[in-house]
Amino acid sequence: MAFGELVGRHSTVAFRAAYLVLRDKDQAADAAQEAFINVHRALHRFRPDEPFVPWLLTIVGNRARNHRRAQWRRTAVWRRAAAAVDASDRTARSVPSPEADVVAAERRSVVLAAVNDLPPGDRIVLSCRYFSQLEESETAALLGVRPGTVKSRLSRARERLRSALEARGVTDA
Amino acid sequence: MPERRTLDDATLDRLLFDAAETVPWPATPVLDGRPPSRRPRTAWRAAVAAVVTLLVAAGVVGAAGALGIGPLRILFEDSLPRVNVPDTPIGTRLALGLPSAIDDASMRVTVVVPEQLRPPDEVYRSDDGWRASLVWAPRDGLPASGSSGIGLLAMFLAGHLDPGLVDKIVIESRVTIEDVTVRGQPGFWISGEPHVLKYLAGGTTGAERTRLVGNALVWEEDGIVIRLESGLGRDETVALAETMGAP
Repeated sequence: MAFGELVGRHSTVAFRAAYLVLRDKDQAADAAQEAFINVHRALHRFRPDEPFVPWLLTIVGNRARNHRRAQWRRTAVWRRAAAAVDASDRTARSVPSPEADVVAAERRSVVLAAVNDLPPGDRIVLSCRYFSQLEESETAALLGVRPGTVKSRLSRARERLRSALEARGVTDA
Repeated sequence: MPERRTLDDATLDRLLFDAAETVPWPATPVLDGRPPSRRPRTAWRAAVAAVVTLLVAAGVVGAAGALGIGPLRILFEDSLPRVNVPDTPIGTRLALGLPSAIDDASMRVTVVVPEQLRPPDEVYRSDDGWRASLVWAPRDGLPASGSSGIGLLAMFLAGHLDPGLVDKIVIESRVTIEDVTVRGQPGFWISGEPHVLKYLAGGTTGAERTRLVGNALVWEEDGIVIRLESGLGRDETVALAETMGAP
């Protein structure tokens, strides 16, 4: 497969994975682009019998974390810098409600808002699993942790979300 | 009073997968991911076989960036602008702006100079005074920079303009960016092949100018991005920066 095709095929998964870590589309685009450059440079080390996506996400995760570290460093340096705008929080709370299914749309909105309000570690692991639909191994690669850690974090995050949703009146009914 | 039903696992899964359909993902940008070009290089000045484009938009205070200091942001790209380097006086050739003086009242950034190099040989400022450039000719202990022929160029950029502007450094191969500490502040040492420096002056991209530059030390101090370009190595440049004070 040509490298350009490889990039085209995996752009969305790489970008969204970076976005989950960084929550900033510009930085996510940078991280994803850098990841593909690194992928190209390291292609000779990639074993064709291994799945590509976890390998890609390992690199995306590294790049995204580098961006985040740089962001923290800048924040320390630039105390007067404006607080980062959390676009996803804002948009999650303003998900439009189709007239045909207002209740369902509202429920989705509540779920998204509840996920967004979780601690970052919970939020990202849930987002990887349910919103990006990454496999456990892919999430582990992105986050730089072992699959077993993903499993335990996911379990913990689900419990917190369950409590949060119940507190917001979401039930089985 | 009936016991309140809780969310079982299946319902929780269903709610999350259902909500996934409405996640407001930003549109995936076009990622080329292409490697640095291996095309043959012609004259480096014209072909801009350059490696780094540095786009400085003074004033992007606290803007998010891939790698950056204050108004300076680094992005990775694979295409670079063409640069024409006219054979004209240094200020024009290096796109430094208007000839000025160290005590020019219209210069709105505070400049500092290395202790052993005061005063500078030439001073330039941008039209609006928010960018100042001090130039020293080569001399003992200050070799000529391979890309510009100058001994030392110190550039000062204030962060005060439209925060919507974005700075970027376009990086190809053969340029390295190292984290350094300069005068107690985090900075970058950019070394390798000549790169491209662009300014977004006056808050408009139309005002940008481009030139080739060599190894550079960049850091931020009191709201000013300071950039030193010379033929010196990293440690020597950092040491020079440590001596900087009032002109």
